[in-house]
Formats: sequence, structure tokens, C-alpha cells
Amino acid sequence: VTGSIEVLETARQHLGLSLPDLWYRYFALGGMSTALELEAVLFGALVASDHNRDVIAVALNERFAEVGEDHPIAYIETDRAADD
Amino acid sequence: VPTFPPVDTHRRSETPPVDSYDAAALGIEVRIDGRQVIVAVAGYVDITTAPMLGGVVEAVADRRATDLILDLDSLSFMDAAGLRVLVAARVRLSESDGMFVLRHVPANVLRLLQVTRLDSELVIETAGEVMAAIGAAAEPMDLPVPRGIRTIDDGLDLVAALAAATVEGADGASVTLQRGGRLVTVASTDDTMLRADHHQYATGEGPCVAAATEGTGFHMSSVATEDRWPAFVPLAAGEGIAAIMSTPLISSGKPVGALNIYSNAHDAFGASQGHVAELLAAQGSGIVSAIDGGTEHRRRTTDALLEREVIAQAQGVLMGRHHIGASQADGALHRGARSAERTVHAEALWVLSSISAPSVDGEVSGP
Repeated sequence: VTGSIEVLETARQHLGLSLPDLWYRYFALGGMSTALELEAVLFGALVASDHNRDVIAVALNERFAEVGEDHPIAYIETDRAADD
Repeated sequence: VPTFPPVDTHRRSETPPVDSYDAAALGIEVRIDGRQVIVAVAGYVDITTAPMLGGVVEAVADRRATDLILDLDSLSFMDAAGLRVLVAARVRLSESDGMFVLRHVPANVLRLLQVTRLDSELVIETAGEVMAAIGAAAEPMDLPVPRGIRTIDDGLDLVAALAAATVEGADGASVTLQRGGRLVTVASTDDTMLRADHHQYATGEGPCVAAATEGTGFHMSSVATEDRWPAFVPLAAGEGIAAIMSTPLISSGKPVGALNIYSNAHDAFGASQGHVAELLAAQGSGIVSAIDGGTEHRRRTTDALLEREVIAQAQGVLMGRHHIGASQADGALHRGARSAERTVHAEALWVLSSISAPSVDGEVSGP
């Protein structure tokens, strides 16, 4: 699970998405962390709940979709629910 | 069978007990006290009730030069729709020369204001009052330091005060900004400087006007020899001013104002004073850039709030329809969006459109 957080930051850098840009997307999706907290999560200084981590993943995946790539980041909660 | 409201914007920990929910449960009490209008808000501000509150804000803004104080002491719940009303109120009131103040802000609303950084945009009453509002249980350490629009001007006040104190020979200083197409003095160490600024705005000329519009420094070394501003110079002399040095404030490469320093002595300012003035003007420019950044942040946050509102509503619909929790409903939206290859926002709109078409079913599988 710690690896999955690194995936988020790697994806953000790959997309060239600034931290503020990611935060606006994340907030629009219902995220409840401040921009500073989001940054702390991405750099591993703060542990995000599975749900919070998924909202960040959705924000990144939607940017991937905009630039014509598939949704490369798996969701923790969604995939767990799908397995049930 | 539990009754769910058709549209429910409530989320997570802020979610009130569903059985206590009443879409019409917004109480608004208006008290007018001279220039101040105090509006006490009780109950829920959400997508169904926010327009009512917005109407009150509009009515107050239409009075012009009226301050709106929103007392949230009895507020139970507020999310995206309410925040948008607050953002709109801040903009409308500043346009109509009124103050917009939040009083007795509940802890859950403070959290939302912090998340959106609106706590630095809005005037929230002092820490003591906030602490009283959220109860003795809250540790002072948990409280945000209430900041307000005035903080920005406080910063420029400091620049003016530093200029008056540290520039050798200076007797006073002011900061002028372009606001709404006009020049306005936002900070001044004394009335002499303030009047000198106003003489310049009235005559449309002078070192401050030139620096703030042309973006380069203008130095009037002595009213006795100055011939560039014939209308302004006698007025400055009448105020007892002998010399003025105006240094532009620059934001995003454009002149946005000026730092003005005056002296009662002729030829008081030289190169070394000019250097200090430039350093202080750079500080002022940084503060103004932060204001401009705040405006941009407010616009983007408002856009984000609009999307968030739609998603929160769809989440509420799914929670009611499938008897699931908030994060499960979010997960269902994420999954539905991915399988339909659309954004979560588009998926949420689709879920909401299904309310008016009851035969549609199974658009999102349950948990």
C-alpha cells in the first residue's frame, strides 16, 4: 500500500500536473484535504485513508483520460468492492 | 421505510441524521442596525436552501455601503452550495463598499473554509469569539488564526510604515493601488500623505500617478523646481510637502500601484533612499501578487465547488437508493464513471438525470 502512494506522485509528475492543479481537481471530486495535506500525502508524510487515496487517484486518472491515456491507477476501494 | 430526500448533498462526518433532515429547514433572521445588517442563519444551508441565503445577500448588497454580518451560531450544516454563497457575498459586498463578516462560525464550517483556503479570503471574527462558538472543548492550538481581507492591507500598512521609518529624511509614506480602474490609497502613515495622494488622483497628475500607471520611479526632488505637474505641485506645497519619491509596485509584469514617500525638506532624497524604496516596493509588489493569486484561487475554487456540488448530490442519491455509506457511494460513482468511460462529474450528472426517469435502474451496481 505504501507503494501505491508513490504511484500517485509518479503519475502527477508524469502528467506535469502542478500541486495546485491537482488539488482543484481533487477538491471538485469531493476531497476533504487541504492543498498542504494533499502535498504531504503525495510525499509520504501523511497517511491517507483508502477512500482519500482513491479520490486522488480519480483526479489523476481523469487527467490521463484527457490526454488520451487509459486509467492507469487502480482504485483500492472500488477494486475491493468489485472482488466481493 | 426510511425516507430519503430526493436530493441530498450531505456528506461524511457532517451528515446530519437523515430523519431530522428537512429541505425547508433554513431559518433566516434579519436585524438592521444602522450601517450593519445582521443575518442570523439557522439550520441547513445546502443546494435547496442556498438560493434563499443568496437572495438575502443580494438585497443587502443592493443597499450599498452596508456591512453584512452573517451569524452562523445556529447553523447545523453547510457544504458546497453554501460556500458558493459566501464567496459570492464577499465579492458582491466589496463591490458595494460593504464589509462581509462571518460571526460564530461552527467548527465543521471552519474546516471547510480551511480546506478551500477561504479562511484567508473572508473576515472571520476574532479567535476568542470563534472559540466561544465551538465550545470550551476545543484546544486553542486547533484553531486557525482568523485572517481577513484586512490582513492584506495590514501588510501594505507595514510597507508604508517601514518606508517612513527607514528611508532617511522621510516624513511619511503611503501605498497606492489600482482598484477597479481607479487609484486608491490603501495604506498611509499620516493625513498629509493621504491628502497629497488625493490631490494627485483629483488632478490626474503627480509622481504617484505617474509611477502607478507608467511602472517606473518618479522623483520630485523639490516643489520649488518641479515643472512636470503644474496642477499638483502648488497643492503639494500647500500641504507643506517639499519632496516626493514614488516607486512603482509591479505584479505579473504590470504596474499595479506605487509606494510614495514624502519629505518636508527640499532635496531630501538621493540614490541611497531610492535603493531602500525599491526594496520596500518589491515587498509591496509581493503582497499585491498574493492578492491577485487569491482572486485566481477564488475563481478556480468556485468552479470546483460547482462540480463538487453535483457529485455530492449524486452521492446522496446513491446513498438513499442503495442504503450505502458516503464513501461506498463515492466508490460506486468512480466505478460507474470508469466503466462508462466518462468523468465522475458526467457520471454524477447522469445519476441525477435518472431521478426524473424512475424506470432506469442498475446504472451503478451496488456494493
